[in-house]
Amino acid sequence: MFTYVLKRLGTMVLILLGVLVMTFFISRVLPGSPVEMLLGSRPTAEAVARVTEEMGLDRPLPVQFVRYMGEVIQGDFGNSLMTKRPVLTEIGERFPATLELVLCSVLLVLIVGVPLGVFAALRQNGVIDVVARSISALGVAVPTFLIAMMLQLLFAGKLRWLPLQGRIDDLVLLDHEFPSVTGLYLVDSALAGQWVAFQSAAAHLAMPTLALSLSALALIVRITRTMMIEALSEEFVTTLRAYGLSSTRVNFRYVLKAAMIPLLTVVGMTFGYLLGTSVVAEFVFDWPGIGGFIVRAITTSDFPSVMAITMLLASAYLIITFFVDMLHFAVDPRLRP
Amino acid sequence: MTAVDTSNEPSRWATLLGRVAGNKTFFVGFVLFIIVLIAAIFAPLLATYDPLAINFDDKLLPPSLTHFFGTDELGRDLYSRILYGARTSLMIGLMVTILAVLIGTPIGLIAGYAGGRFGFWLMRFTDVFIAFPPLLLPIAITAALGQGLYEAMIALSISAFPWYARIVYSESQRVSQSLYVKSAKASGFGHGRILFKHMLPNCWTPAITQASMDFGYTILAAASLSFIGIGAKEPDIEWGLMVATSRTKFLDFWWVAMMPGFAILITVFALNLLGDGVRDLLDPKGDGK
Repeated sequence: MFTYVLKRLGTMVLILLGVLVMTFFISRVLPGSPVEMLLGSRPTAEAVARVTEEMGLDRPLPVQFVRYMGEVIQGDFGNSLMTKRPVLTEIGERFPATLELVLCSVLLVLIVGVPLGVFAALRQNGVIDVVARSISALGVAVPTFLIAMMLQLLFAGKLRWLPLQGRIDDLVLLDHEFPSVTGLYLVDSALAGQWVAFQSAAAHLAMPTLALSLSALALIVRITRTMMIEALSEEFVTTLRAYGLSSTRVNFRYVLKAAMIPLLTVVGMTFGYLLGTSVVAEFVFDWPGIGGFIVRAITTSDFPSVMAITMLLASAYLIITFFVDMLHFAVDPRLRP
Repeated sequence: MTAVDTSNEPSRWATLLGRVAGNKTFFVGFVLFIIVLIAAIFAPLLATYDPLAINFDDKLLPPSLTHFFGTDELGRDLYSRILYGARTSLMIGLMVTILAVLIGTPIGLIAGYAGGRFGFWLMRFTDVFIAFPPLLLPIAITAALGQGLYEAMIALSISAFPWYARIVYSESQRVSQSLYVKSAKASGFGHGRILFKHMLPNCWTPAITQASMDFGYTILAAASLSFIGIGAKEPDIEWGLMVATSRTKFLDFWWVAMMPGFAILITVFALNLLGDGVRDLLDPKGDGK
């Protein structure tokens, strides 16, 4: 078991190294020259030569890579070419916003999606099943930006219940300030007892969370339903029924447990999926997270930012997958190597 | 074609059509897809206006009998633009899928056949591409390639190919142990011939299934890239881009965003249903409907 975990960690480090090579490669074939980006459009020849040397861009690629890797390991991703501040600071300021959005979506997806999938499987072709199947068929086909704009049209435009975009009302924030503890507005404002700010944060969070969740919800409902149907057809279910156990007990105590294990993988996948699609949701709702930041970084050829965000999100994704795998072994001893 | 052939043809088609009609969801997907396909193929005939013609006198008109889906902020007819947009989207889906299959299949095939260290490292190489959350890799790649329709297509192919490599790899591993491959090796056939003549036909069914199921997602992802401004650019006629350009106006003029948005929805919905159907046809053991 221990050697397996070590091996698994080793592979993870290898893949991370691969990701590093890839982001490095991506940044070095970038069309807009980073030097130009720093100096403006008509720099003098000396200035170009000086900056090129300073940034080490005149050295051979392998040398540049080793230098880059050394810096990354020390947590130095360089300065953003767009804002001239350290990339890590930029990301640090924005990541809590993304995390808050993704966490809320994961919660929503699990709380709604899993029960929906379970009940759909228990009564196939029943009302819940039809609802569940419609959600899963439509949800994966609706572009996140379309559902986001439909929500904006309805709740912000027609009904005026929710704010159109942003993370919190700036005026509310001025009157009801709260200290940053976790960086998550909902948690921080609640901790400080600032309920007006909490309300504003929750109202701003509602539409992005819904929009981001729909496609993941569709996947979760579909997979839960399939897992549950599979578990229901196992022989132990027939045996338990034959012993005279009530169907509620069989379904929720035994079948659900058997279906839960493959679901763990899906939870990990959902996290990764939401991290990826959050870019679109953040773009629509002008959410101050890293998704909107990476889009702006790309269109301005800010390669240190693009590389750092790509690197960090890929690492986060890999680490989540790793923990989900470990959780598997904790839940199901049969899977242990 | 001989007389025997023609007499056989209808019955074969009839059974196929029967199977198509028998599967309700597949049938719905099939009909919707045909509509999209007709829109794409006959766009020049069906269009009522030039999709690129700007006419400021007619800007932001609501849907009516003269402009079926209304007009956008430049006075371009949305109905005509959506018809042409179908061409773009289907082209993207097709090209990206073909490219991904063409890159992924040989890699998986060779890795499974070669096995050992080489196969191992080849698959670890593809694993690097899978280590990214969806959409993030194409986004990062467009940072390197530049932003445009073709760049986005290449980026999407690069992020999709590892899945095909993986699927073909597991098939190829199995098949390479089979007796007929061993005997082909013993008979002294070249590697290329064994790989592509003997093994490939026995490895590609799961890849085709995957491709048919990915088609819709690819179109969706491409539209998302265009929407956030790193895919198609004006004057490309692309649905995601059409939604994006309406962003400042859509609260007052809903049709500018919703018409192309629904076009994406319907197309992807149709393709997903079709993909499920193809999976059921090719792989009866699959996880049902």
